[in-house]
Amino acid sequence: MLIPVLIGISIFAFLMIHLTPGDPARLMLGEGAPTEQLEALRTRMGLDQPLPVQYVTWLGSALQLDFGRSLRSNKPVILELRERLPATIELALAAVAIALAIGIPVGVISAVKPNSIFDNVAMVGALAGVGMPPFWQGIMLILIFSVSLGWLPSSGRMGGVEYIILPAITLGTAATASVARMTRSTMLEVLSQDYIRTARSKGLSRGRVIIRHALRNALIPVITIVGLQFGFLMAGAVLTETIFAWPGIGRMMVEAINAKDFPIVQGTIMMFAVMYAFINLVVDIAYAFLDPRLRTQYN
Amino acid sequence: MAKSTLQTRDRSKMIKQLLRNKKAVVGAVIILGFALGAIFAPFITDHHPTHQNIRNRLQGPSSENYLGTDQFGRDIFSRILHGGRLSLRVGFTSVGIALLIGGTMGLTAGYYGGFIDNLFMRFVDVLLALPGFLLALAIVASLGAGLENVIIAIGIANIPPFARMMRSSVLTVKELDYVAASVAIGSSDVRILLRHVLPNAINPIIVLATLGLAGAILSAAGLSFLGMGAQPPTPEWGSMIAMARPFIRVAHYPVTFPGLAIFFTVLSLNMVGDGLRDALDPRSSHTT
Repeated sequence: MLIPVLIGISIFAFLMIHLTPGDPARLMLGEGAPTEQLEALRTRMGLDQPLPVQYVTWLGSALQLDFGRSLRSNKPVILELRERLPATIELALAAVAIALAIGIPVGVISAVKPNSIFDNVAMVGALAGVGMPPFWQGIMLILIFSVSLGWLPSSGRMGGVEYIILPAITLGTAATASVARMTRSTMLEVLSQDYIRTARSKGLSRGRVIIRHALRNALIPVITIVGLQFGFLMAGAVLTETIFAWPGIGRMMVEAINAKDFPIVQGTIMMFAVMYAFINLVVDIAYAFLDPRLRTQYN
Repeated sequence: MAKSTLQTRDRSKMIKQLLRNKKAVVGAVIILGFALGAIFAPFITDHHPTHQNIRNRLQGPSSENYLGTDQFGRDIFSRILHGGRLSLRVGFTSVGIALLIGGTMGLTAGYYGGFIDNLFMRFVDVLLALPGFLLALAIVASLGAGLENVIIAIGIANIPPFARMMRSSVLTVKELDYVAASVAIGSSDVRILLRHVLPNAINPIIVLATLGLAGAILSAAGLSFLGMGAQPPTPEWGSMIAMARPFIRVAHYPVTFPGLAIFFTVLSLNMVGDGLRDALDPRSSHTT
């Protein structure tokens, strides 16, 4: 299942250069490029070969993690990816941490007191979080916390924790909202189950029942949402990294698109696709591991 | 006959339920406001959206310029109203593309099964290999920047949910007795699909399309913010934010107001979508 999908996306990544209107070599070198240079680039990139041959050659090297060299820096694409990847992973993990730390408690409280003031405010807030344009939210946060208050740096990644706070909030907002909504709805469902009433009637405290009996079961679907959110986080990373000048692969992709640096664009697309596939796989495994009904099937 | 009266009764009950949902009504009112503002923009404001007046640049809100002016002295209120036209156009056409292609794919895949089913669904799997916004970005990167390409890209990126939803609806309906009866009396495939299968799938599709509209507007603004969509001086919300950003230390209005426009449009579409889902699917109404 995984492999045909990755082959499909690799065909797309490969074809990108050829889908672009115009001669790829000329696009990369600019209009005024001399013919010899164009010819040299065509030979170097194998653009003079038939398409299927080009694809097989490209895929062959891609499987060995060789995506060619950046047209701008002339460094191998894989090295550039390796340099930039940790920043993106760091940012995504920070965003997920925020989403879980805020989303789960908010969802639980909302579900325990449904239709209370807290619940209504939280759920309108969650809906607002989903609709928040991340690029605008990022700029607004910079305006408030960097420009006006001067508390936090507005861009870069110089090592300190203060640099990641604003980008992580920006990236984590939509995920926090989704986690809160999902936690609330699964908690409501679990809380109406018979075994919750049984646990309460045998004299366990309300808090203990909510944490030990209800939350444990309610969190299983939340894991799927978190997995899905990783996908949205990668997409959001493109915008967030651009605003905060965060040196990750999202910003790298945007810069490469603007500079028509196709090997880098292809490399980042494949990187995102592989990461996404890997996360989905991990979510499936985690799901099987956490759900006792599925776990017994595997043992 | 009996079936159609049943349907109208369901529909009016549904609308009643929707009107009782405060969130959905508030959302619908806001959206209607934006839509009317966009449609009648030239009658609401005298300011031309691209008319520059450098001497009057980066001004705060006033009785002349309700939301202030941007870095070229253009009226922000007028640009937001005209930008609404673009956002709604991009939203509706891209969701329309996704609905048409994805819906047809799901319908045929579910009804005929076999090879077509496999082919279409593998294609959908490939589209799902990248998160929607990234896929749209990659497509625009290869087609080139521009609003038309943004519409195509977001349309393609939105195919999977429609195809899957339609396919699963078809699979449920296909086994029902009245479809078998329709086959038995010799109805053509097209008639069965359009008369029996499609009406049963329409409710979830409406919900999906409303939420998809919100997502499409958000994505389009994001792509334009990155410079891949509408090009200046076109009044597009995302590109307005990107262009005014360097001046944010002097005046934040040219960034703040277009952002609020995106935010409220997307939020209210989501509220309407949520309300529709609760009204159309009674099972989910007590949980979400």
